[in-house]
Amino acid sequence: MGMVAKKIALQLARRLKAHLVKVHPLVRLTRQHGKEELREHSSSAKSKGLIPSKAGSAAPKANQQSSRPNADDHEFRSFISAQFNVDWYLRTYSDVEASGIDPIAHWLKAGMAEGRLIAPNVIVRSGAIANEQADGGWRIFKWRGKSVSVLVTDPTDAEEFLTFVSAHFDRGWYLKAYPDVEAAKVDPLFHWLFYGIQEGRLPGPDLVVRTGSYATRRTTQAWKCFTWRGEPIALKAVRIPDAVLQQVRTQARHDPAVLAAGAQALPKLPHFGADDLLSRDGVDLLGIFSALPERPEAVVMIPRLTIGGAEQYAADMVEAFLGAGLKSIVVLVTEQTAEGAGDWTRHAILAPFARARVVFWPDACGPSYYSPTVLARLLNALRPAHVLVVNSRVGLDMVVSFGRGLSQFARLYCAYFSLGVDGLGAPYGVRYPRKTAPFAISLTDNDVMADALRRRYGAVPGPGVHVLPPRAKKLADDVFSERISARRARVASGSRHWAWVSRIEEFKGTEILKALACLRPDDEFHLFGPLEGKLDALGLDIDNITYRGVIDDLSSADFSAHDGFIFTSLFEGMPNVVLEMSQHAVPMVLADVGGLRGTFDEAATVFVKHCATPEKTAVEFSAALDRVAGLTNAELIAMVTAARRQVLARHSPEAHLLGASNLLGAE
Amino acid sequence: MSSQPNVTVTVIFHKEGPFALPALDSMKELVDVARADGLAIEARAVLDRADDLTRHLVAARGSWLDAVEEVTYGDLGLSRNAGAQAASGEFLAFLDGDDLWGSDWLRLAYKAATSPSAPAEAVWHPDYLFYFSEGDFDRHSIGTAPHPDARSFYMQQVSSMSDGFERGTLMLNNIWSANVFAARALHMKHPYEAVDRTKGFGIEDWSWHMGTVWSEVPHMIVPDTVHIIRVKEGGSLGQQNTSEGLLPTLPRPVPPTETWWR
Repeated sequence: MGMVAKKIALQLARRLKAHLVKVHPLVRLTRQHGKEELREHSSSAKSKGLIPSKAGSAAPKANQQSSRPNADDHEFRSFISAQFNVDWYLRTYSDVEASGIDPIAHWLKAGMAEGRLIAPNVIVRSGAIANEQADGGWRIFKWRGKSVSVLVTDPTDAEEFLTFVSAHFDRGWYLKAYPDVEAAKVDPLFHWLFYGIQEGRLPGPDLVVRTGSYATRRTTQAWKCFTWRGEPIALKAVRIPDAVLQQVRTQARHDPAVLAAGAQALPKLPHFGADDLLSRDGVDLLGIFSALPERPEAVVMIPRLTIGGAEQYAADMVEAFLGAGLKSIVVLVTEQTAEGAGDWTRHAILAPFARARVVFWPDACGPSYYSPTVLARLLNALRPAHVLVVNSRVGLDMVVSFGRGLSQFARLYCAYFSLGVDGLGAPYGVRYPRKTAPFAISLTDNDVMADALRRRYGAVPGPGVHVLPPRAKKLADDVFSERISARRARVASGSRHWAWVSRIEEFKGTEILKALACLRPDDEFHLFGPLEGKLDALGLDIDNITYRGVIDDLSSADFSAHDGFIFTSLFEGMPNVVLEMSQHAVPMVLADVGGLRGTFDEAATVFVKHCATPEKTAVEFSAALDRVAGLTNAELIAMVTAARRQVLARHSPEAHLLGASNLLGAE
Repeated sequence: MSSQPNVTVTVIFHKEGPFALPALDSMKELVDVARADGLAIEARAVLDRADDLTRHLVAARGSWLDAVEEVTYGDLGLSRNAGAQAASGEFLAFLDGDDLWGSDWLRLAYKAATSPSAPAEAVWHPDYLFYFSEGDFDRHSIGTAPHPDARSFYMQQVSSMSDGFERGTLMLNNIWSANVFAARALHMKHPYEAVDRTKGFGIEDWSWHMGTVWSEVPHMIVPDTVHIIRVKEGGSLGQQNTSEGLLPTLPRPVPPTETWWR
């Protein structure tokens, strides 16, 4: 065949091929949809008689479902096909384009499992997580019997995000920084989009990333906010100008250390915006500004909003500040988020906080919420007249490090309640007073602690030690009278019922309680208070010990059915729970700890001294319970009346207000 | 100099020792570039309680300086005030005795400060700060990707006139370096305050920035300029300030109650 003829034949062959592709569905399908589709089409075509089946073979039976797509699969594929951006898919996944495989077929067969996108704005989740997306625009499908959920987002958002990322993502840097990605031979951009972002991996030195709640807090104009896979993400592109790089390089001739990190790496070193405190310091400026719109007159720092004596003391101080005429008070919760605090307002002892502005510092500040430096700078800016720190570690560290400056404009108070017992525990009352004494009033709720503080650090020049007994809520006289009547009318039965009210933890003497319950198997012990963990971990899963839960409002609880209240704590300051129980006309058997004797005498309570072991102490407690059980009605009434009177003498709301006024105004 | 210099550039030394040598070389280059551009530059050094080594090295390598003054303040702010007082230039630039600077700094800062569109009164900052750590020799990269633990980094400074700028940011951290370029008249109007360790206040440059911002003085950026700051292994001055528990002095009067950060 001559050359001209060959050329014509070749042209004809090409035209015939093109014609075949155009007119013959099978050929077109083979090219476009891959073998799987071809099989499906063939079986469909055979069933319609378009393609002769093998001689003698019948058309496929309708009930042969196992290898055929069902209605669910068809619905899913149709939906996906309608959303599929073929051009984008082939541009994004060069391996697919190189293979010649039909993109939709590829995705259905492999790409979906690999987490590849069909379009920038379509998010697909399969497996167990698919069933969790039941709302918010997600659609649930079935593909090959398994759930798949699809969310179609605003195409503009996703496209803008991917365009922005693609322009700045550094593939080479990513592979060098993450050798596991290089070893897996995964496309670095794909990896970052589908795994790296969630894992906190960096996209390269030309892009700074923020995810989660910080992504929505655009702190400077340079940040661009997007939504990717339903989640907010903020990016900032950075590029060091060539003129700057050149000047830096030039200076290396004066000091080679300028290029210690590597001359080639110079453009890719980390970059920060000087006013972007979130990136630089982990400080969310906008979070702080919005949480604290005005200057407070007083700041009270506590670690958590939870039920406890220290928290109640702080809450009562808020009342005292308000009573002293201060109008703007901020309660800074330094170690707990709003979510962690839950519905704290349901706890009556925390009610005064609701009259202040409560700021959950980790939420407002961001990652650096633990930094005393950040806190000190904030207070320097706010300039409150009073700063009270109650058990807040970062607050105490702030006073230690920055108290000299802070005390120039604010009266600082650090509350210390106890010294621990025999080297057990590490309360702040042991660790901090020496360091805060030069700048802050050491505030305590009991004379025993005050004496110890004065003895140890009284010689340190500073604002000194001040005792402000805690406030006890005074029960109305008529209610107390009713409780007296109920106590008087009570007929004791054979077995006794004792109330144990406290936070349920070892330092509250749970070992003693356990031993006591064992000593008195016929008595019932009812536990009230917050419990972390389980009773059996504390050895309290004993037949005659019953956990009754947390009492939200102790003042309105009814203890008339109890023979007495037991308090076994190993160490205390001035326990609020005892003051509250004194209002219930219930005899009290108290461990002789902390400042209790500063309020009560032997006429009002039965004191029990701690012995060398919990078991021996339990024996003493048992003897005390026998003594209470042996009292006449008149003796019981006299005891509970005395207890209430002694509490109100020292801890009434009026006494507390007077004491607080003296504290706030004291020189 | 017979007529007023355009710029007095003053480097402040304390106990920099050998670090003073690259600083002086870099400063000379800075000055030479500016002079080559036609600017009259007065170059001075202030030695504040300098040690013998630093004094010796300044004498050995600083003979080209127009003046060397010794003071005993032990205070960066007061040293700068002394430098401003002794300076003759229309504009002042300050440098730290252990850093280096992009050679275009003076030239471009003067150009920016005297351009027709420049504010009548302003403080000028370099576009970038490049912090370099000598320890990065042990975290060195021979390729284009830095070692993941490299401690050298860039800080891009921002103008107080830029969109979205919140001056309240200054309440929580300093956002500009100390070595500014500004008119001598502005320095006379806004002298630095001394550190008062007995009262727990200091950080003279941070306090100065707050004071000038709250006095409505714009802080501007000179594009394509860079200061090259040595990260000392023993900690920066900022870290030292924190360890001493120093707080910045708020602008006076303290802003009123509403929106404390504005």
